[in-house]
Amino acid sequence: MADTTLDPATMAAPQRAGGGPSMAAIVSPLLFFALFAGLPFLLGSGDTFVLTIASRILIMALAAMSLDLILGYGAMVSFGHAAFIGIGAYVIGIASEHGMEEIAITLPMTLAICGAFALLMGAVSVRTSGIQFIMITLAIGQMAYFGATSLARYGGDDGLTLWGRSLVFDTRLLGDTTTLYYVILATLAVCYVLLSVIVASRFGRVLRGINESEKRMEALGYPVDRFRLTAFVIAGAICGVAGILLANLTEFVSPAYMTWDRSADLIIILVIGGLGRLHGALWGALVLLGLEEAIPWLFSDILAPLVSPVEGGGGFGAWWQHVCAVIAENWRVILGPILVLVALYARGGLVTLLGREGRA
Amino acid sequence: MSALVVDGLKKRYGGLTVTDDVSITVEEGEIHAVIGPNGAGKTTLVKQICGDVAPDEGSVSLYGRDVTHYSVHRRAQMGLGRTFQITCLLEGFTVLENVATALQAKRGSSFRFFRPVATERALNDAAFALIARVGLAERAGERVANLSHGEHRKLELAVALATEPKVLLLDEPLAGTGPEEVEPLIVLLGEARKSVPILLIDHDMHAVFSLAHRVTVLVNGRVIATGSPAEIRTNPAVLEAYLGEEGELAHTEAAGA
Ligand SMILES: Nc1ncnc2c1ncn2[C@@H]1O[C@H](COP(=O)(O)OP(=O)(O)OP(=O)(O)O)[C@@H](O)[C@H]1O
Ligand SMILES: [Mg+2]
Repeated sequence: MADTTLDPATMAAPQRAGGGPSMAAIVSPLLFFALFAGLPFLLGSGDTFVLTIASRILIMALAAMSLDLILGYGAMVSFGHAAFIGIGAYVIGIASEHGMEEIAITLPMTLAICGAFALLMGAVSVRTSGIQFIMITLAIGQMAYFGATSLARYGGDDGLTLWGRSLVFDTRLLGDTTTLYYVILATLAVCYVLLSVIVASRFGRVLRGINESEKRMEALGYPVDRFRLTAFVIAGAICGVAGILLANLTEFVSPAYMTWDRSADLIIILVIGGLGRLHGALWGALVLLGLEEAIPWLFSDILAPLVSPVEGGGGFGAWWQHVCAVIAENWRVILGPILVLVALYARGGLVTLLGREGRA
Repeated sequence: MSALVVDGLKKRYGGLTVTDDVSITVEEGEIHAVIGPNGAGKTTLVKQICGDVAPDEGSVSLYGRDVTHYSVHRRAQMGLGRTFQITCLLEGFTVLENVATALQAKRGSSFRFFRPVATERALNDAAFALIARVGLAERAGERVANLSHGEHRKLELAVALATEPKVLLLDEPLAGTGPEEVEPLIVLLGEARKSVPILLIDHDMHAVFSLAHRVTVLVNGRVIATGSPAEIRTNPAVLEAYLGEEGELAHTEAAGA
């Protein structure tokens, strides 16, 4: 009797509040991509300032999304993930220094090198957990950073300016900032789809299962470490692509791309946007980098002039201007309270505000 | 050949000897029950068989192969299935997904990255059949976190069966299930036994004595008796150990007579 209403296929996905697949999980990424696809039209031509900021948001979203595979789905808090942005960027920088600018060559090179570095980082870290895992990934990330600063031939501490953006099948396609922007957006979209597919696959289910209970998955016969390591390599390789894009956007490569606080930024993006939901990385990057731009502007250009110092200086006005200047310079003092608000009112990240849902 | 051979297993925690020279075999087609008072070392024995805990001495063999130094997942891959005394399930997954995840471990590679696993009919149908077998059909789409304690126990059993084990270790599978739910589960275990030999630990003496072909009694980490249910019921050492405890055996004996 019940058999007619119970279809196993529809029950394999976690049941969501209200039944059926969550609208938020479908609408949220579509909204994001539509918004960014339309941006150049809103801006009109010539506004490369905003477009460059938007490009950076997309690149950070890509890097954070790759981290989500291991952090959000695999519960591995990697504090060295920015290393892969840096390595991806350096592959482009160093190759360009040697006259190799063709992306058809440098892309597979980046994937291979970042994958290999991820294999190394993963091999020594996936067996550990908690603080130990954080410390190991942090240490290896810093190793990559110091490695880059010691590359005297390629600019050392100062970094390296590219000869130009990458060639795409021998064309200067990426030379135009708007075209580059759309290439970045398309790359992000492709990686979003790719990661969504992986998360929903057999492999993704095992990864999610490990996140739920490592002990149970071991008892089922899954070699947990091998799955973790594989996820690590996939995430590292995809993050390397973010590095390629960043190098092309800035036409500059620097050790600063892989400092530990860049890795922390990636984690903050996921915490803000929502862990274990790939589209969380999209909104998290928009919010974090948006704040990075908006807070200094708000305090130095809008709030500071509201109260002018009295004649001869001093008084409330001077104090006010001083406070605004300090906040504008140290925008992260605002970030702390925002993270607290997210923790209080949007546990699971901003995307939970769009509607309750199960993990995709 | 014995399905499972535990030989001279010893485990000490500090000054406490939790497993004291334990030897047990499980033969094909049998249910071998291990009973004993709380703290006797039953769970610790299961953990050493599974590889969660390394024994200080002794060996564990599966179908003739010494697996004493094998990892947990390797033993599981070789066909060692188990349930946990303290339920260990994928809480965020649905009932169906829990069982399908278990099936997936034995049916084809899990290093597949592109096909959506939720649409794999073969996995889903087999999972659903097992869920129906333990009486959870109506709950197949429910998240595990929303299940009752008794339902957790049943799912724990379905998941263990889904690993398609060659030897099954059940650590108190009936604990926490309601009185009217126990009988169907006893029937289920009796059926399961035909396809997989079982090492059964339970405090439910009625279940143990109606299912087991052999019973081993563990007290303070030591085997004090092994034999048929009839032999165990009348074994003086066992009666003494149990009468001192709760008098449960005497009770079942009276009920069975
Ligand atoms: N990791 C450990 N460290 C120290 N002592 C332990 C450890 N694990 C178990 N023990 C002790 O070993 C003894 C046996 O525990 P075990 O859980 O195996 O008993 P049990 O027979 O399964 O009991 P129950 O019927 O209550 O499940 C207990 O005294 C327990 O306190
Ligand atoms: Mg126990």
